[in-house]
Amino acid sequence: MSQGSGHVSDALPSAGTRPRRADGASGGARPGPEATSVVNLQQVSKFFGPVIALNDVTLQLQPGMTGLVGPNGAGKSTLIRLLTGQLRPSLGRVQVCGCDAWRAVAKRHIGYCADADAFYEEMSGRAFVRLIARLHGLRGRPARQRSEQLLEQVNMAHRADRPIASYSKGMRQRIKLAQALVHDPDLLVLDEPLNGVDPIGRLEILEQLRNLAAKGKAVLVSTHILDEMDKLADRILFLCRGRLIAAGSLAQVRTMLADHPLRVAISSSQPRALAARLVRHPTVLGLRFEGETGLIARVRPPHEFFRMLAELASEDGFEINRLRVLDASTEAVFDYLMETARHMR
Amino acid sequence: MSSLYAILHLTFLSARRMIWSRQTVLNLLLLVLATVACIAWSLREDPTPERFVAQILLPIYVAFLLPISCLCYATAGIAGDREEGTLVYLLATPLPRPLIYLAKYAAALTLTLIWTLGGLRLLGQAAGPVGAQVVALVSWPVLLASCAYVGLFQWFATLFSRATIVALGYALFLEVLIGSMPGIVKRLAVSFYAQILIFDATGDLGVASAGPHNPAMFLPIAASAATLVLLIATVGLFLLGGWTFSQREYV
Amino acid sequence: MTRKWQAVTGFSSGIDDREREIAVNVQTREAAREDRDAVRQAEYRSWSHQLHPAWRVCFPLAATGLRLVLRRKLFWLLLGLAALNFLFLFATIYLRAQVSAENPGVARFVDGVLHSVTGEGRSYRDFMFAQGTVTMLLLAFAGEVLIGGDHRQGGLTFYLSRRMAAWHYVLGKLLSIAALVLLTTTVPALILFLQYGLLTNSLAYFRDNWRIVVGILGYGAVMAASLSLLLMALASWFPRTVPLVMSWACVFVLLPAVGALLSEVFDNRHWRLIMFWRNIRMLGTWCFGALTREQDLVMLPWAAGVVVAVGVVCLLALFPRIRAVKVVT
Repeated sequence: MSQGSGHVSDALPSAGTRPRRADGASGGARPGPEATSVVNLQQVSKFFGPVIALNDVTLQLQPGMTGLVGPNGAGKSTLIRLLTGQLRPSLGRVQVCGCDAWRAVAKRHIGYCADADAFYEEMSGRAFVRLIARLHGLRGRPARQRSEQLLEQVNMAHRADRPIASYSKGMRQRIKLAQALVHDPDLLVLDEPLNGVDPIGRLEILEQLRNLAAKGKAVLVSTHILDEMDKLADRILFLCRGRLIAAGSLAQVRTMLADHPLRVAISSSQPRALAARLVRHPTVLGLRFEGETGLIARVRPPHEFFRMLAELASEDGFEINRLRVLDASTEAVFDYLMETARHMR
Repeated sequence: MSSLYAILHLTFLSARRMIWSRQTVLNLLLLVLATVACIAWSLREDPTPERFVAQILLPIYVAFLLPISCLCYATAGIAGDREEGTLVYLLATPLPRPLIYLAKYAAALTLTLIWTLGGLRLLGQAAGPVGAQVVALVSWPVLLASCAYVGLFQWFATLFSRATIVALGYALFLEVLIGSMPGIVKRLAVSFYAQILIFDATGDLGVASAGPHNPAMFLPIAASAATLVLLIATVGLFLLGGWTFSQREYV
Repeated sequence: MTRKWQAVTGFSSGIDDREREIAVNVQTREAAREDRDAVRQAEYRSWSHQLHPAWRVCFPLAATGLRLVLRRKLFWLLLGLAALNFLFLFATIYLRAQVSAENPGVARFVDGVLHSVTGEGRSYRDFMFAQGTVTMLLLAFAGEVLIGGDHRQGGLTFYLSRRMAAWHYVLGKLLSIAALVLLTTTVPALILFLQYGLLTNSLAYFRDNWRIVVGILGYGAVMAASLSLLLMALASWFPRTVPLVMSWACVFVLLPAVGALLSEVFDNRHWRLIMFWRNIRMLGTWCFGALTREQDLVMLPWAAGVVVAVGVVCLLALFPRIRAVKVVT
């Protein structure tokens, strides 16, 4: 893992089942992360005229849940379109399950839930999902059965006979999810799948995505709702200005960003005495009291602070009741990364 | 087999969506208007094949109804999906792009031929015995011109985001402009070859004099050459469209 | 981030309170400066004016519509086609002036051959009429961009959720379509008129032919008003490109052909009234003061009636479609 570079090799252990090869072969010659990767991007760049939408990105995606985070214009949609074979890279190579993502054969492995709210509006949700099933090669009864199963799964079975034009935003998102899953893809790419979905529906969809990830599917979710990333994603890709600035689990990325101040909440029976000791230490940049027993410290670098705190507890006998890192969330990490990216300019 | 099944399904879906659309209603309206004109024409005292060609077939059918009918189905297939944003669903399926193009082409061509040939027959019947006599002879030129127009307009749909406007500009502006120019430049227009074939087919009825007032400006070519050009254009434009569609990024 | 940390408070036990206070003050000042910078960068200004009357939203709406169209490459291509005719006449008028200065006999010959450069009202009328084909294409394109897009992509909801009524929206859009019509017909005709006058030896041409300006403006106004109403009504009912283009082409190509045929078959000139473009032309000719034939003068009120009736029908057809909410059954 590296920061501030286009080349990010995600070192997370692989999990779940090995994806099927498009050509029926059981495996590649090379061992290592690429061999178990569902997606493999090698030094991919994408230009739109003079604009570089994606700049020298290298990454692999393994089965499990991956979040894709970045500000507007970061290149998230371009990355997604490259992965789903809607775009071809200007430079580099995009492979899904060993196949070039642009080629039709790769589409067997990809389920795509687009951000755009476009449908055949006059069709019913049921007919639409069934149509997509048929376009994926399912015939007659299997297509019907699979469609029904997915409509049940997204909780739309009882409402699927109405024309899509009459659906709410949340219902449309569910139908989009159902059509993306209809051919049981190895890679599921979801662009803002929770837009317009009510809180209960959101929980349902998140649960389904977790189940899919647990079954060994690679799920890539692009979202602006960063809070949900904490609960949802095994690892996160941070994009900024077309570059992949970090990839890995939140904890890994947070550790990587040791130079950034971290907020730590400490609960102690002796808050004032502890504060007096802490504030003298160079790793503590700021302190404030939180209630009767709480302290919130702003620290840098965190690992030195935690070592010092452990010494205080063990050698000086300070009682630490609770220790909590406040801004290791995706949002905070995102903020830090964007700040880093700004300094990189 | 599964791909074939999917392609057939896509063809059927495309055709169904084209039929149940506003353009079909408008097409019907245009045809009704033209039919009324034909009925009115049949009431005149001296209907002749020559007059039918000069007053109905060329100005109303060949110059307007034929390209408009071809345009409304040929561009709607792909340009409609692009406009509505639904093309992404088709491109996300494991169907090779040339096959998707083929499905759209098959749907558009089938509907267009039904519409143009059926419409022609209706106009002929509405114009009375003279009209029916002429129409029976010009089906082949109309079929060839329809195929060429469908190929051309569907190729436009793969190239331009506003293919319908471009196709309209071609059919009602560029073809008219080219057709009125001296020299061989008019050989770029589909309607030029259609007219040659129509004059050739109806030659026995003495229709040749219904042609351009200045034959020297028209510079006709042999009917067999016109047929060959339209056939080559149809196949060539289909292949060109399929290639363009399989190479371009649609986002 | 500075904002988050401005809440850091003084700390009394074992640290330098003054140092802490200074640090807090510095942070607070930095935060305030950042806020000011952000406000300045966002170009916010304190509000010190009254709101304009609601009807004035028509102008920004029209300007936005025009900008939308002007941004497209296809528009410039179509405008280029429209400019071909204009450039040809522009060059011909110049050449005629040059030739007439050197050899007046040749100029008379040119006038006899090329009626389009005689400098009479009919020349300008014919030029504006000839611009019609490209104007038709341009408007088919503009209808799809300006009105069809609003219906398809929720632009109507966006506009009507503002402080404006349906008729403000209609007026704004009509203005932008009218501006396009004027751009391709009236403005070039006025330029040609100016050119013609300036290439003569005195201002007499302008003084003697003031009626031509009235004609150009009148014909332009009739075209702009009638075409914008017709286009807006059609595009509201057929927001998708293909049906819009078909209906538009029907009005300008099929109906004239059918009208000419019916008029000939039944030997009745009233059938020509279904040729909408011809009716507009007749009104334009009247504006130029060039409608002299008795039979045309008889038909003029009918033509005017048809144009007005079409306009009224378009208006009536238009308003049911201008709704912010679409009810799906």
